[in-house]
Amino acid sequence: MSACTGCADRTPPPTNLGKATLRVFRYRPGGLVNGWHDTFEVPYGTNTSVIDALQWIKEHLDPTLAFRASCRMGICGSCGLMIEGRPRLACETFVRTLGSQATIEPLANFAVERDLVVDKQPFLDALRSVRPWVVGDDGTRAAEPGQPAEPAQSVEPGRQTPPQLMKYQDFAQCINCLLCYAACPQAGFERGFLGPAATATAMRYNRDSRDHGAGKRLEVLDTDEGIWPCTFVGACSQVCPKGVDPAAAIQMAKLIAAGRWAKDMVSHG
Amino acid sequence: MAETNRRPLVRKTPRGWFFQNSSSRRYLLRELTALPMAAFAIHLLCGLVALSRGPEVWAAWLAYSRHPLVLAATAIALAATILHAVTWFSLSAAVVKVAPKPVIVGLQVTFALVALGAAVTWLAVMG
Ligand code: SF4
Ligand code: FES
Repeated sequence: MSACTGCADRTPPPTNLGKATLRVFRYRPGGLVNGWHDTFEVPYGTNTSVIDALQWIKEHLDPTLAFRASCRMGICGSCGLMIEGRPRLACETFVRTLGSQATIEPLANFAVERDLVVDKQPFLDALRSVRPWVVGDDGTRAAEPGQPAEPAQSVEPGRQTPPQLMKYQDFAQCINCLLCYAACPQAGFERGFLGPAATATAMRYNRDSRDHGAGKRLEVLDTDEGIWPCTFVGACSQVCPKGVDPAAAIQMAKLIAAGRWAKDMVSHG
Repeated sequence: MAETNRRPLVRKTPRGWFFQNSSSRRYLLRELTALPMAAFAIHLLCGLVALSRGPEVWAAWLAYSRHPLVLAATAIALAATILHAVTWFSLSAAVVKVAPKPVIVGLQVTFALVALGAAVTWLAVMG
């Protein structure tokens, strides 16, 4: 064996660590009404992620297992799962960090289509309702939700200084993985709740110096199903893998909505 | 609409959800602090009413406040206020980044006053 001194500080090759037991939630339309759990034994090493393990199950034990994944590097937001009861990205969670029998379930607070796949449509509707694009001052880009945006009349580039970018940059990091919704008890009780990520995205555009859509967004935010179901549990920000801090976005929107309410009171009173 | 075989399974939040993990247990605790704080507020209100009714009633309220059980309850209320303030601020550290300064300062002053009020009353009644 030849020792490579230059490689000493590199990551060691993956080591086989034995077998792990995964309890995986299963559901079939027309199958058992409330779903069931299947137990699988999977070989794992230092670098086996939960997505790798699920893929191994699919290839070697049960080809019917359904789950979502794409980038396998924490950027597409499709692999959110409840891992040992906590919402996490399956591609960023290593099997070696789990207990001897880890339970893998679909994201909480969403309806299950099949096995680990949930219906994301309620979130997509919520996201669209807050106009997740830069609304121009001439209103031409202010397309209604569901309609294609018209091209802007002005051909001026939307210039921005670094401090202006910093005002919303954190909120722009959202990958729509929905871990925040799965962590939020209010999202479980109020299925129509606009929720953390959609509000963070609304605030991302509201705080963009090029945007003129804050008024329209406030009409969506400042409603019984908008920001107000939030009781500041704070769990959304704790589980967010991108440091977006949606809880801060919601509290911020509450301050703005309360400010507008106070202003209306004074001007009408 | 096209025929569909979809049967999305809607799962209910389990009843004991707040015991499920440490973050929801902490949330539960933070929400529960409202109870001793409310009880203390009522107690203080009674004190105000007693004050307006004359020296005897006030003395009676003071004596009542010195009762060991009431003292213990006041101590619990103080602890609850501090716990609430600390956890609330650790959560809202990020909001500081995004909320207008005066609002944050206002909230901080309010919390400090409430905690101070509880502490002062407790000490006064003890003394
Ligand atoms: S706010 Fe964070 S947790 Fe929520 S969807 Fe965006 S990236 Fe995921
Ligand atoms: S697979 Fe893309 S975030 Fe996990």
